[in-house]
Amino acid sequence: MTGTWVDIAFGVFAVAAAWFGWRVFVTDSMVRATFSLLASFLNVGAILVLLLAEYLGVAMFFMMGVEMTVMAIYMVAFMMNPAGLNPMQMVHQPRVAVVVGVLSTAGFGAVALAADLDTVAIVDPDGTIRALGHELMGSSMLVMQVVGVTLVATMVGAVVLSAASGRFGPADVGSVPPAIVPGDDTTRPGVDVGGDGGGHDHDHGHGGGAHGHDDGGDA
Amino acid sequence: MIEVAGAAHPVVGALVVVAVLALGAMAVAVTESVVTAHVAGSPLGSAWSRPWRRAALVLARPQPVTERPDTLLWVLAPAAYVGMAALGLTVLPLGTVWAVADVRTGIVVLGSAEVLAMVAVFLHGWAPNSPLPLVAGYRFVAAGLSFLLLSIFVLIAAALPAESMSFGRIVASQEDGAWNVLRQPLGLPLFLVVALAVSLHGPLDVADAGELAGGTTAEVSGPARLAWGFARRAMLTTYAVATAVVFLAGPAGPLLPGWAWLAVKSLAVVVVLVWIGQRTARVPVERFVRVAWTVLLPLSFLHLAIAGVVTLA
Amino acid sequence: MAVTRPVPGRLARWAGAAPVPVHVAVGHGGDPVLAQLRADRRVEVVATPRHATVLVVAGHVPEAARTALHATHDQVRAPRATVVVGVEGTMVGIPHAVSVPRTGLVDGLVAVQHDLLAGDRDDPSIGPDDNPVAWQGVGPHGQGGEGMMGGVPWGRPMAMPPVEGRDGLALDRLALRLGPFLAGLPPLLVVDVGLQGDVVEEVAVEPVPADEPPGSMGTDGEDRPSVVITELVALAELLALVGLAGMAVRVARLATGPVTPGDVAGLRRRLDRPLGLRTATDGVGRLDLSGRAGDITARWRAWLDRAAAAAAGDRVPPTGTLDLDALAHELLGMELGAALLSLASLRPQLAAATALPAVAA
Repeated sequence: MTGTWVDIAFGVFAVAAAWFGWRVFVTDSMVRATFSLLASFLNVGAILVLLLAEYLGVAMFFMMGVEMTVMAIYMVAFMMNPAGLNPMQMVHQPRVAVVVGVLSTAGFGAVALAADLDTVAIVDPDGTIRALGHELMGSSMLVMQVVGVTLVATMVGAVVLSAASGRFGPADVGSVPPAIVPGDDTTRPGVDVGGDGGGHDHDHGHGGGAHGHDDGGDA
Repeated sequence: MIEVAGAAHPVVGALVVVAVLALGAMAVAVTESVVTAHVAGSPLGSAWSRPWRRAALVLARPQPVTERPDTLLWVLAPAAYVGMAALGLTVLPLGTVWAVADVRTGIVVLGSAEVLAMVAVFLHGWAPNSPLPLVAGYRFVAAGLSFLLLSIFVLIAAALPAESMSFGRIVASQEDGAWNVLRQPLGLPLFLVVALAVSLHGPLDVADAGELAGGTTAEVSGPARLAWGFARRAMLTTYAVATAVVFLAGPAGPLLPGWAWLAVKSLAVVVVLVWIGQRTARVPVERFVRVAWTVLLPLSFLHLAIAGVVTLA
Repeated sequence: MAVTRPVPGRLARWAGAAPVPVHVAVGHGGDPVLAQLRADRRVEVVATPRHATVLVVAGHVPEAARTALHATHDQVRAPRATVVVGVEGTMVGIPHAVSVPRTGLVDGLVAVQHDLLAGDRDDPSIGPDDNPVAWQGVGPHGQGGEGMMGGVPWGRPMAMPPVEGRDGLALDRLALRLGPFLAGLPPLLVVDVGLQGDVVEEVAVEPVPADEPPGSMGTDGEDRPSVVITELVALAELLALVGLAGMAVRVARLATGPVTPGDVAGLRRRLDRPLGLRTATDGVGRLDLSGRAGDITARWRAWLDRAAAAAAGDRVPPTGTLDLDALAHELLGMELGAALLSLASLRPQLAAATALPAVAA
């Protein structure tokens, strides 16, 4: 009985994960694309919970929630009109992407269907798994903890360094945008290269195209 | 010794969660009304029924239209926010031997609900496609990324003496030893900060702020506004229950049944939080973020370290 | 005869007993009305026209602010009504507005709300509800522009990065106009901001040009020292902005009655605590304007000083005016909320600045 329900739930979550994954590429807004991706990940997390990897599944909710929100904020803040709801195309090089996508899906699908997967429960006769657990949670624990604290310190340090009110004075004093073509100062953003008016050039040049495109691609 | 039983029947569980959130939200609304009237020096007599009359009027109003809103997400945001309040409540023990689903990873589930609640608030600000709600959404994410870490460390500290991430075990460990409010005194104020911030209440209501014309609610009226008001109070309910469970041993207590003790303790937390809200002005979001990272987060590290040493001793 | 569908019986009975949510469009001399509305429990002064059922026009609205007033009018969702205090609706360009004398204001509002719920009243929109700049459906994705550019709905410019991008990676700058009837802002003040995220990157503060207020506006004519009202209304608005609704009502009620120095001292005791109003204002909005430096806390303490002095019968020097360009410069780099609170904390000075008659032509 329970097994049937688990199978049904797996099917629902799997279809939902795939459907939201597809929505990422057909929606016309960066925020919608980002949160479609989040919804896809949430369904994958639910599948992990079904597979009794409870912690991994729930942690996926947690981590993907934060990651996708930060991504959405960056996308809206870098290109908003006013909240990024004016439509835009969310894909780059769509043909190549379609070909690669179909090939990789076929590859993984072939492996999943054709491979002879082991269905026997692992009994761990020589205690390898137990030894691995003791290693990770025992003598190597200190290393793990140090790595964790180092990562936190790195993140805090990055925030401190990038804050406008950095401890070494205002962080943006003297900072110059890099040239688009290395070594060619005339391609530096903000430098008027002449020809048509500066403001107009910016509106249509890098404002509309370059970075907007890059942001969309990250989705 | 409290033993929390396994999962409840799904239908019973869902009904209990809905009932607790509805009753809790009503209790929060009445407390807010009474405390506000008291602070204003107004007669308290009509304060009890004021929330219902205001709710009826809000319900009778239509929803505004904005230019190119994301209608679907605008509708879903309050639903998702209530949903996260409900998800958080499912893993909390609501009676002496009973939780809807006392899973082993309880504190991680509550943390996930908190993160996804942040997503819901951001979307509530983003969906109307209007500047002030959008700015309110930005603000909430800035605050959210700061208070999420606090809540993680406080909950991990509470899990240490229980040797489990389950809230049922956390209650049991307080029954065997001292309540966490005594054993881990730094934790309670830190967790109350989280409770106010995640439920958009009082001095930490950075998203629905008056200076942004109501923040994420600036373009909302009618049933959607009622839903959002309910969602905020439901979230406060969940966090009041969580505070009672983690620091005041939840359902544990003599004579009265467990659910009654939990209700009394949770209501006390609600009164404290609402009282703070009417006495303390909204903290500027920049200051909140700065204090969270430079004061509260180091404090929560210290708290965790102390909790670890005490547990080992 | 009903003009809209009436709200069904039981709901209408409850809703009819609710405080009337009003958005107050404050003009010159509108402060006493604002205080009266905030002090009354049958009324709730709300933060946005979207939350209101009734728009109240308090004080004199100059000709130049009519368009904005009409836009605010249309933002209140139908069924809606407008109430003007002590004048006729035609004087603010809203002929269908209900004119109510100041003494019967709240009773009038309750009656209007009753009519709205019964379906007996609904004011038409003033402006057209169509976009003067066609953009929808234009362009390859219907986004109104080329490539990834959108259109310019209502002439609003696209958010664009400023010219000097730090490290070549700049947040878009969203141009936004706030005022002249934004709740809590000083009356008749228009603020144009350029926002990067929630940080003010560009700002201009501009009062709506004043014209000659015609005769009696019916909003004044009391012999109490008006400095008490000005300062206490500013305080009540500040309290409402920072979420202290109960205290805002208390202060507004004080502003509507006779004030003693003891009342002001009591108010100071309640507010001047580290975890009271000061959590929102200490160190926020630090401005250096014409030699008077200080944060918002310093400014509301000065209001209380002036109110206490006026209540004691002492002479209080008139509020100085402000150099608006210098003010705008000081607001640069602030978080939007902090900038708006800073403007709210200059309400008496800015009200004095906007009330100046336009330079004689």
